[in-house]
Amino acid sequence: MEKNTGCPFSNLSSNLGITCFIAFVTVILVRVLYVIYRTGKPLNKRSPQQTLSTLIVLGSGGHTAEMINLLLVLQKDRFTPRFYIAAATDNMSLQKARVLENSWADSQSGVKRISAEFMQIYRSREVGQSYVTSVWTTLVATAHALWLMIKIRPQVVLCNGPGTCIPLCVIAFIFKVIGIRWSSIFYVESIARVKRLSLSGLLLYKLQIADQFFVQWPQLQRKYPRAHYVGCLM
Amino acid sequence: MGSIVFTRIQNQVQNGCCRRGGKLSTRSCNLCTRVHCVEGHLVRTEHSVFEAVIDGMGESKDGVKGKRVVFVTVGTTCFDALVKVVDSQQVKDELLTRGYTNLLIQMGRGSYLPKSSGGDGSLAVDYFTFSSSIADHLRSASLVISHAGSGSIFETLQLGKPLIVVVNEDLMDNHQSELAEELAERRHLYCARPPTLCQTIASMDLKSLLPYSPGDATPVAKLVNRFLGFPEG
Repeated sequence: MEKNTGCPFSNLSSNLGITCFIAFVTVILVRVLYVIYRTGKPLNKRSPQQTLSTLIVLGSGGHTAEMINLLLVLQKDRFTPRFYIAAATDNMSLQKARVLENSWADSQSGVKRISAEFMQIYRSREVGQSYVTSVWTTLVATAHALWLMIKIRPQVVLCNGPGTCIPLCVIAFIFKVIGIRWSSIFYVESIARVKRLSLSGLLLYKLQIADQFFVQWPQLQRKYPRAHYVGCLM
Repeated sequence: MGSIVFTRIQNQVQNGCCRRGGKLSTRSCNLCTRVHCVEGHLVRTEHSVFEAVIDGMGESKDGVKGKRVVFVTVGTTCFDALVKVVDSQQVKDELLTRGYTNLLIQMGRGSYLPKSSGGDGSLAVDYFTFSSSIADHLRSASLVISHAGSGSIFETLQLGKPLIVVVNEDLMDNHQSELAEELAERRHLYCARPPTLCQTIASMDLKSLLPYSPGDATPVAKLVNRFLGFPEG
C-alpha cells in the first residue's frame, strides 16, 4: 500500500523537480546568451554630467604605468567614484594610484571631494607559478574577489591584466546575468604583448566577457579582429 | 648651451610641478616615476627631446667629467644570468674598449654578487639590490642594459638613453622577448640574450638607434567614452 501511494507521489515530485531544474537552467542559459549578445553593444546616449562608479584593476610594474597613462586622459568627473584594486603582494601600484588621486584632489583645491578607495586582493597566479597550483590559488582569489565585488558593484571595469582581473571580470559578468548590476568591461592588452595575447586577454576575448578589447600592436588586431587597435600607451 | 637645457630639466624634475598659462593639469612623469603637475602630453615629449639633446652632447659633457656609466637593471626580478654575464671579464673588457668607465648593477632579488673593483684603468664596478631612485641612475647613465620588463624599457627609452635589453631565457612564459624584439626591429634598442650580450656590445652602433616618441592613451579614452554613450569632447 505504502509503496503504491508513495511511488506516484515521489514520481510526481521528482518530475516536478526535474522540470523546475530544466526551466531554471533554460532561463539562465537564455539570460547568458542575452548578456553575451548585448556585450560589446554600445550603451544609450547619456548626459555628460552622469557619473559611473568605476573599478580600476591595477596590475604591477609596467601594467600599472599603462593604466595610469589611461587614467590621466579619462574624465575623472564622469568616472567617479573610483575603486582601485591591486594584488596583495604588490604595494607599489596602490601607492602610485594614491599619489595620482592626491594630485587630482590638490588641483581641485577641495571644491568637490573626489572619492576614491584602494583595496588589495589575493592574486590568482604569481609570475612563474605553475599552472597546476594556480588552480587552487585562483579559487581563493575568486572568493575574495566576490566579496569585494559585492561591496563595489561597479558600472565600469577597467583592466589591463595580469591574472588579477580575471576573477573580477567573471564576477562582473555573473552580476550582469543575475541582474545585480550591468557593467561595461574594458580590457587593454599590455604593450608587452606584440604577437600573442596574454592568458587573461585570451580568456576575456574568447569568452566575450570584455565589452571592448584594446590592443597596442597592429599584428594582434589582425589576429583578433574584434579587438580595437589603439597604438602604444607608453 | 648644453648646460642650460640640462638645468631646465633638473628644475622640472626637482620642483615636480610646472605651471603654464595658469592651467594646471596632472600627468605621471616617466622621467622620475613621480606624478607631476605638468601640461599634458607636450612636456613628456619635451623631456625626451631635451634628454636626446643632452645625450647627443654626451661625449663632451661626459668628457669633462671623465665618467661614462653603464647602468644594469633587472627591476624587481631575479636575473642572475644577466648579472653574471655583465660581471664577466669579457664583457667588462668590451665596455672598457668602448670608452665606458663605470659599471653600476642593480641586481634585484638575485643572489649572485658581482666583484666590486675599480681604479688603475679598469672598469669600476659597483652594485646594489634595490633603490627608490632608479630614475636618477638611468638619467646619469651613458648606456643602459636592462631586463625585458616593459616598465624599465619605456622608462629608459623616454629618457632617450641607448638601451640593450637582455631577455631572460629562464622564465616560464617567455612573452617578454616579443616587446624587445619588436622595438629592436623598429631600431629603438638592441635586443640580446645573456650569451650574446658581449657580441652585441662589440657590434652595436648607438648612432643608428632611433628616438622613441611616447605613446598616447587618448584613443582608448575616446572609445571608452563613446561606448558608454558620453558625448564627444
